[in-house]
Amino acid sequence: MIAGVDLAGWRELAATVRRASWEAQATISVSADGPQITVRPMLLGPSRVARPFTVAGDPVALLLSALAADTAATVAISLTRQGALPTKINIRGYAGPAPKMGVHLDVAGLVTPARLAAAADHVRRYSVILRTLAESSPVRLLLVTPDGSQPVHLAEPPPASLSSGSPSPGSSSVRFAGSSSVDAGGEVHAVWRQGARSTVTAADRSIVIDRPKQLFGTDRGPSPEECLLAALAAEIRIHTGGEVHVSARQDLRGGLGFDGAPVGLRDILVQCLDPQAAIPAPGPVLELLRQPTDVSIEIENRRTPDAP
Amino acid sequence: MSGSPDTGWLAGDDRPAPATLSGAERRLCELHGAETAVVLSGQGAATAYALAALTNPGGHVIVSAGLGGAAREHVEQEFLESGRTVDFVDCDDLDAVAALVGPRTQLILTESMTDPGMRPIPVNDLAALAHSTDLLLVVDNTALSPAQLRPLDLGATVVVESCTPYLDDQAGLGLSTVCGPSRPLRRIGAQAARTGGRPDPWSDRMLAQALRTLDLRMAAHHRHADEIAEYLRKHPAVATVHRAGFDEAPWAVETHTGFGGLLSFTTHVPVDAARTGGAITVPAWEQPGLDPHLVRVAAGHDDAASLIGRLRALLSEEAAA
Repeated sequence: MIAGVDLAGWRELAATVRRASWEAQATISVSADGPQITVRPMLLGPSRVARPFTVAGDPVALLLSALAADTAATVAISLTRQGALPTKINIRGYAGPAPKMGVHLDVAGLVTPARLAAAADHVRRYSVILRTLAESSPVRLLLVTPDGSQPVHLAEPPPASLSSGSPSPGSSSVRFAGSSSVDAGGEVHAVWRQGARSTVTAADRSIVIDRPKQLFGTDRGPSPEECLLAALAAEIRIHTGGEVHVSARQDLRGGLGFDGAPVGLRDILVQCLDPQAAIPAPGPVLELLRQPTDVSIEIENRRTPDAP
Repeated sequence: MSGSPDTGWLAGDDRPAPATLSGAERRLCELHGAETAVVLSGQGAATAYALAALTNPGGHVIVSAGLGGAAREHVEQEFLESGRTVDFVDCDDLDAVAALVGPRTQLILTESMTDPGMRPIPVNDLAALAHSTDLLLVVDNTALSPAQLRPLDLGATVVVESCTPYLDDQAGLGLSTVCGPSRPLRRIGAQAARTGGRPDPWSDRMLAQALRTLDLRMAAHHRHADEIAEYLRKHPAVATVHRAGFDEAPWAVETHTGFGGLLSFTTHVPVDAARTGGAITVPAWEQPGLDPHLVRVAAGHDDAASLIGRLRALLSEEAAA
């Protein structure tokens, strides 16, 4: 194992899911009944992964934390796979007024510019968080009121149909307010430790993001995907109150590079139990998810200059 | 990892890893019909490593109440201290097991035959429950060995076995083994490699040699235990005999080819079995609903007559007292 990346493990997983695609299907979920967001047990193929983590914080900062940690983990896998040895990665994730969003990675170690360029390409193609943001990920909302009335579905309209207006008659689904320009501001700094583990510091707090050992991490914190769902849960909860559950499905084959398998999260479902507000106004995290967001990736090696 | 750095990704790399199984591990794979096997040093090591590798801190585990010995002590001490929660339940009672399954439950650990109650656990039904609730099923098959039950064929995820009584022919090698699919066993093997839990090559060779005669020895164990049980059932001083059989468990005809060499019995007047030693013992652990004067007998594969003779002496002593 080099730099905490279990390449043999990833290869074995790839060989397993080539034979048995159900082994690659993961369902992740978080729930919030207060400012603390609890990571729910993950369904990973025919088994469960249960870990005792909670996260809290500003929604945009959590989103950037997930992005920064996942980018660093993908870079680590890419460099290790290419035979390079990353020793330290400092990451800065930032978001400004739309469409300014990006990650800057400063990689130290035995790396060459060509390998860093290949790593940047791998991040653009196989980072789950980046691809979830880069693609338009529909989010479904379900409001369940305690008085026993019909649950309200908030369907997310595809961006093209926003201007055409008129919802189909007889449909009980209510639509979000039209998408506005995203005004998400924030910055996080992260230090990659090893493998999938990074310590991310937002304005006032730092969290450890890691993967479960079933996915070759070290079980020290929530996974980047769970952190992304936590960002969404935190944002929805600010608007609606009550209890919020967010779940999504992931096909691990996408991140492993199988053709035709989606890389990003799918079927993102937000369930609001006992909401105080009828229809939440879309916040920046929801907007970034449902609109295609271009994330710029810069990878450089400032610490150890190349030999001439 | 060859080729230019920017082509392909992990999916292009998945050529099968070369098999690095030892002789004993290869033989165990054949016996269990398993993809791979790991032999570990230490009798409780298989259970300990399997539990640690297949669960996460924060997870919940359902353990058979009949689990005894070092494995039980490990679960109640180190395993509980590592952030997992554990519930003990009679795994014969599927409804009781199902009632304990919660969202954080990851695994069911059961022995294939309760000891000293000597009731076979319906592994196939338990596997159906585990599959329908997304749990892993770990079966401790020490009492039956792969010659008489192959839990992987019935849907168990992983089989753990202590090698000492049956697999290594009483050689006292102090080994244990885990058999199952290669993906979970990779983590178990990696843990063992880090902590030095692999056996020396000579022990591995001894085990591989003993495994050649496993089915013959297990058939003899089963036959002799049945003979002893038959003798004890007719003895007037004996109250109950616990010996698994196809009469009590007709469902096992489809899954088992025998019930190993273990039996236990209780007498009307307590006997002093502690003095006899050897194959006749008093279980040191306590289970609810178990007679404290229970005597446990492990039939050998050489001859049942000598053991019956010692039991006769023991029971006549008690009758005279």
